[in-house]
Amino acid sequence: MASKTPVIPLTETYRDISREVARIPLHMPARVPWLIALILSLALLSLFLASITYLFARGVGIWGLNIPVNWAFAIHLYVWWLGLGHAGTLISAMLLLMGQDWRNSLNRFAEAMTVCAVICAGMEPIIHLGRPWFLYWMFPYPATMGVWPQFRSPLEWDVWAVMTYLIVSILFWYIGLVPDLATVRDRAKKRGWQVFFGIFALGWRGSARHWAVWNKTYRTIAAIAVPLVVSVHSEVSLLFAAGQIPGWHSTIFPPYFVLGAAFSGFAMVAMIAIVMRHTFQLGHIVTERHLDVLAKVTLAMGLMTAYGYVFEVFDAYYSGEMREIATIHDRFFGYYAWSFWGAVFFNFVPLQGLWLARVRRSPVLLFLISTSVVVGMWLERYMILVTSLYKDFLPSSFGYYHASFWDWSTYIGMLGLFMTPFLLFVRFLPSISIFEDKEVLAREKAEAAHG
Amino acid sequence: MRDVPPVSRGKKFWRSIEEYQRSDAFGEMLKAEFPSLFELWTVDRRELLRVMGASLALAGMSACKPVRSDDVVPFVNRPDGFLEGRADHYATAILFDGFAQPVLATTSAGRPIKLDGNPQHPAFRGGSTPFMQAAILDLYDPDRSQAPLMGSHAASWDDFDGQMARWRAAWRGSGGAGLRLLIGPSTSPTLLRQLAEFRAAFPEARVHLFDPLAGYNGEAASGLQPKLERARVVVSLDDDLLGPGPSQAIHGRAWGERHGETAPSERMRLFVAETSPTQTGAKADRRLGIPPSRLPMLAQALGAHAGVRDARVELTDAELAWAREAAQALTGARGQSLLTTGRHAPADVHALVVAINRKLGNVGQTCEIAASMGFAPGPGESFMDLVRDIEARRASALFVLGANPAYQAPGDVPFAAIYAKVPLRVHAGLHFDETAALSNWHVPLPHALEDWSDARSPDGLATIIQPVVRPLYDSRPLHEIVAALTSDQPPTAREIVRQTWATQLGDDASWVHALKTGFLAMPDAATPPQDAPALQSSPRPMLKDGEVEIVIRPDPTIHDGSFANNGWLQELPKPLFKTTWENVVAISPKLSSSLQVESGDMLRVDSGGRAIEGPAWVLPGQPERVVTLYLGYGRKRAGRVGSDIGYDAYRMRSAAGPWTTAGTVKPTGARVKLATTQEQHLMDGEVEGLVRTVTPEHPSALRKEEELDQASFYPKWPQGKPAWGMVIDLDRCIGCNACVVACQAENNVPVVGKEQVARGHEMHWLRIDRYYAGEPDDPETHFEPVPCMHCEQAPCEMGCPVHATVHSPEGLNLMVYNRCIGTRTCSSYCPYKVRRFNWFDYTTDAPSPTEAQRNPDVTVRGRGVMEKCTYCIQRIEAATVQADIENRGVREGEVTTACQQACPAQAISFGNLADAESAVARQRRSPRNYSLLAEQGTRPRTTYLAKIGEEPDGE
Amino acid sequence: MAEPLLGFLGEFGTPEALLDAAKRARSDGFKCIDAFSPFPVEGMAEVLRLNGDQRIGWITIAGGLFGFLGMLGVQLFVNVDYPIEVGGRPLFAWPAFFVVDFEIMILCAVLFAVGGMLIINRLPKLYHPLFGTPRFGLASADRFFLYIDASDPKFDPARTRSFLGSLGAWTVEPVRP
Repeated sequence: MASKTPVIPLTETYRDISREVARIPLHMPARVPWLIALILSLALLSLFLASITYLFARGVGIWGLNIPVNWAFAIHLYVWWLGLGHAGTLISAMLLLMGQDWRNSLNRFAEAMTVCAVICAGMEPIIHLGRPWFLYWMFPYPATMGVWPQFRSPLEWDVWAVMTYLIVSILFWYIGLVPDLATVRDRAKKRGWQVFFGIFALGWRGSARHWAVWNKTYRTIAAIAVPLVVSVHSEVSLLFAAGQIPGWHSTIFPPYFVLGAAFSGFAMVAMIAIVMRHTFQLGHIVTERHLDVLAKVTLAMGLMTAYGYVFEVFDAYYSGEMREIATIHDRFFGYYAWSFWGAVFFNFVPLQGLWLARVRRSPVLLFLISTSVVVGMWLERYMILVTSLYKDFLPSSFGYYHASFWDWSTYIGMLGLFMTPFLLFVRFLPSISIFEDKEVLAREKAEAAHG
Repeated sequence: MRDVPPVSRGKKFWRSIEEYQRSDAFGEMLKAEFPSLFELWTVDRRELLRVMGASLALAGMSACKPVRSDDVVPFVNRPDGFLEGRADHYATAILFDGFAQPVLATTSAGRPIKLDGNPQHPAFRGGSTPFMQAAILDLYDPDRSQAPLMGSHAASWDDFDGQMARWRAAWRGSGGAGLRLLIGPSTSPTLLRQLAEFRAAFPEARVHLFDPLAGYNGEAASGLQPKLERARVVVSLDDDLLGPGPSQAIHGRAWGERHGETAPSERMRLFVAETSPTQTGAKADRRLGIPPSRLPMLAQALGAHAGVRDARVELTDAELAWAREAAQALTGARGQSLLTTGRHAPADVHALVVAINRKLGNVGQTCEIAASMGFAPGPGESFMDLVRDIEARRASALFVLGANPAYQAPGDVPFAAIYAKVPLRVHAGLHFDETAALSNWHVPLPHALEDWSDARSPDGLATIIQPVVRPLYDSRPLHEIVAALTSDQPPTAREIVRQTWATQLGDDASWVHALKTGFLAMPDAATPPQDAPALQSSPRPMLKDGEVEIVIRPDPTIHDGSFANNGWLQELPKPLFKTTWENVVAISPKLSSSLQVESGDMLRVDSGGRAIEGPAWVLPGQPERVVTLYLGYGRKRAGRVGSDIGYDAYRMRSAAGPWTTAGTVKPTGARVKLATTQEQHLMDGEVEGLVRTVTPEHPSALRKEEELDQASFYPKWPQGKPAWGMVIDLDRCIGCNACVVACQAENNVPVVGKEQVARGHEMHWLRIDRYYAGEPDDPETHFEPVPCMHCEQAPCEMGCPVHATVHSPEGLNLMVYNRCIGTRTCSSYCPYKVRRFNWFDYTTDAPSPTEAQRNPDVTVRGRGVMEKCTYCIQRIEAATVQADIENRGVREGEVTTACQQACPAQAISFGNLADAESAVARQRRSPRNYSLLAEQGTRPRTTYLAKIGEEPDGE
Repeated sequence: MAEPLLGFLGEFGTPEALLDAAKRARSDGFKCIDAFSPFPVEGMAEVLRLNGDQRIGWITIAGGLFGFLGMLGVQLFVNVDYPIEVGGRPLFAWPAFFVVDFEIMILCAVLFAVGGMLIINRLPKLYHPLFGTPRFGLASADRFFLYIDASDPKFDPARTRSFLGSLGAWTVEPVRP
């Protein structure tokens, strides 16, 4: 996509880029909005802490769970959070390998967003345990009872997948961050800042030798991260597909889940990009063209997810399985039909706006559409989980699920767990890749020079 | 001070009461502010406290640890197929409607922990009923009255004896003038003897019978005693033979023997005409729902056909078809057929039924006519006579012994007011109940398991009731209280009982033998009356237009209210409704649509100026314009479990016609959430293939060949010996729930309370699914017990990340509680949803002394772990240990699961599949054998035997 | 000047300038030279003969193998050490095992790669003589530096300094510890 319209305006200079990005940590612009946001998310965070305190004190019964629906919010949000996270990795890793320059203004905070989302995702399965304090039983250590974990269980897979994903995302993000930390270190005037960034910059000197090794490493990790993302969410989908419950027991689940994840993830990135661009006046670094490309990718992912929907329905009818068909019908017309149609609407109807360039380039519209996608995917995960569980095989054990107060408080509180670290990142670290943007600029200047 | 609870609860209870009330006030606020928050608030405060918070109330409890009573005699010779080992067994009996239910009490370290039918008893043969299984919980009921009370002040037995001496002196002078006893139904030969002596001692005194389930006017029963086991054709006119009652276990056994694996010629055919659906109707070959007003016509039609007396009756087509077929069957099997009717049927129907049986030569064969075994009130000795006497100031002292008239009196008798007119009111009972609260004196009676007494079982045999544990509280046996009425130095209950049997069991050897075996024959009683006693007929309700017929029946699990404080029975799903913790107003589908109500909408039922409000339950098969009310709820002083739930149907009864009346029904507009264990509105699911019926034409239960296909990608695991398996015969199952309560008692399954059940948190390991097929107005009803299937390829095990549920070489699907971390994956993957999860901590603050009932061989599960049916692994292990000691294999029949042992109909068999000769292995080879959801390839170890029917289920 | 001289640092304004300065330094026979830039300058690796270095790749592969075999070993051992039937599945359920195995392979590969990168680059190294030179801070902003080390055989303080100047360096600074 090295194309006519430059990603970084040629009017920019290397110094400008450094200044614009590095100023955010060093002399925070938009202090007030940031403070407000932080206070809000701290409030949410304390709600979360209150909720899980009560949860641990009383037991998971405080949620609306029951037999048969003994999985609901915690698990469907686990899938949802993880999905949001994936876009970060995809943007920075896959597009890096494909040499998509435009990613360079987005990857940094997209990766940060990934880390925060994965933290939330990892939290969900832990708090949903009946006895969370025995979480460590999931790891293979020589226990006095001589018992080991059971590696055929999709839940066991989850533990390793999420752990791996979290660590890899953090490393990838940090390795990419080091050179910029050096930049900020060198620009810092206050001693405190110098020490702070000095330490985290590891003494990076930008030597050609460093760069050479660093480049190889960074690209290698990127190359590994892409299959990781796919594997992680496929594995998450197996958590359902491995069960025999109608509506779960389907081979389409892995790709279906991965696409859905990327879909919601890109939407999320778009939302964050628009917000940051607005609050920190990064208009000429995160340009309309970025939004345009983001929108296109989201649209593409959305269409593929839609295909997943269609195929899932087709699959049920094609299988001729009486119960599969019953489940599909129940999603169409049953008690939880709102979640199905809600998902269809929010995911795909506003999305169609993105066919128009005007919409793609309009921050407000793109933001609204992205929000609707994130909501839609939320409903989809809920639908997949609840509509399958509440009516499985024996009519005698059918039973409704109704989210309780604590279901909601835990979920809403968890938004705080997501926002707080992200806000801290925005405040204290260069949230846009400085050196990579300079690289792009250099390349563009070169191209411009040679006509 | 009226509502001060018994004093032994002390100050603690007072505080807890206040907390209780405060919690509710707070709850109300919450309800307004935050419905869902309110929900969880109520979960822990109201429900859990109410159900298990009694530990607060145990100020006086520490003193009464259960101690084994010395002079009882253990049950020694172990019957076949019955596991001895960890504990002692005592043959005794508990009481149900005054009849003995002979039981074998299992005690561990002196604590009774389980009751089961006495396997040697010729009639019961080990069969149980839910009530028999649950009786043990009443023993440990923390709300039982614990010491004598004068007014509501603590008193001692010495105070009471002192008073008695004074009263006795007065009565001696007056010949007992003005002294009245009001006793509950009883068949105790000892009590009858004592009452006879009492009458002799005090000619002026009177003994009145209070038996709300027989009637208030001293109605005598028709004396017809069915002998179901001998009948090949049974026609029931509104008689719930298989339903709750003293004979349930006996009838269940008879039913079982004539169903399932029996020769077609021996098979029982059952015709039922009922005014409200019952278990018996559910199992009938031909069922007819009719309003009570039609019952006499139907009886007459049968009579006419049998040639008893000629009568012209107009019958609807349905009635006609049923009557013709039933009559033909009856007459076709003379001497082997049986016509019965419920005790709530009008007198003329009773008479007619007796006459028809005589005519068919059934009397002496399939039924007998005998005088009532219980206390038969003479003229002027009915409850209503007492009421009249009190009104006329003819009663100066009233002893209410083991009865609760203040609650159970009919609605048209303002008993509280009348009772107050008696100067001296003494109440003896297990609880400080509604009547106790109105009495000058309340004295606690012991539970049957703490008591010396005797009683007769419905089959006529007697059982001597021996205590299996020292009295938990400061109670005194009924016999001693009665004796004290006349004598200054009353002997002990044991002596009194022994005296009754002096002639028959004179020497110690025979006495000991009678105690060991747990039953003995009665000395030849007075020859049965040749003709049925004349019965005064109750007035028929005249139906005005817009009115419906109202039928009043005992509750399926709480019965007449005497079990109201029993958590197990409260939480036990009613066999047909699957509701718990309250009584409903059963209405027909048609009526519900005309009233535009559905289950859960509150209905107001008016009759004779009295009204109740209860939640509607749309009951398929309910006659169109009949509304059924259930007794036993709406109690004010049952205890913390049973008080203030449901509506009080006694208020709708009239002394003259306690069973049927007429009235209006209309929705109040309010709606409540019923705590059902089967979601009513979700029953539209695919049922076909779950419950199967085979016919002579299609003897095989298999629907397609694939069901036999055992192909698998996985290599087969070596099959350990023995290979445990269970087969459940749906043709025999009568849906009585005995297995469910037995499982609860055996496996320490907690009671969780109404809100929890309503949220789908019920904990029963074994549930009985109820399915309907066909027309809602006249459906087929199917019962299907569902325990864990112990799949050979269990999805649940695959899902567990920590090896907390794994497979044993013997084929058990094991659940390792202390390894479980509560991911609940197993339950998500379980196609049968038989797993139960401890959503909260349901066990820690269970009220003492109820934890004394717990089975020491079964882990008590804590919060956050999954649990499920284990095939009673503790019993398997015990048997295995025994076998190892004797250096042999486990024998067939050596292991019985609790449910199997309890089942009166022997619908459940359990054993070693690897042994081709074992009962299970044989049944598995039956063409009727099929497994649930076979297409899922889980290969259940629990399989089912299809029902045998006349028309096949939809294929 | 008590302190020994470590080398000279020449400052340039554009990546292109730096690149051909480096080229000329090489062609002039300097071996021990290094370049510092705010971002990787295309072609620099070739000039300084750095791209023969494949260690990272091998380290990553080693990590992957380690994780793969290690985790597989763990899962197999666990089922040998605690052999119990689970849902009728075989003890060695390969398809199931490979899921976790794959994740751990990736985890170890990444850990090794990062570790390797730090070791090869001798990081973290919070102090370095270069930081002592006033203008070096700009290396992370918009300036490009060429460094010639004193250990170079052709190194001679005076000539090397003027040589850097002749390459068009805006400034030339000595680097001292």
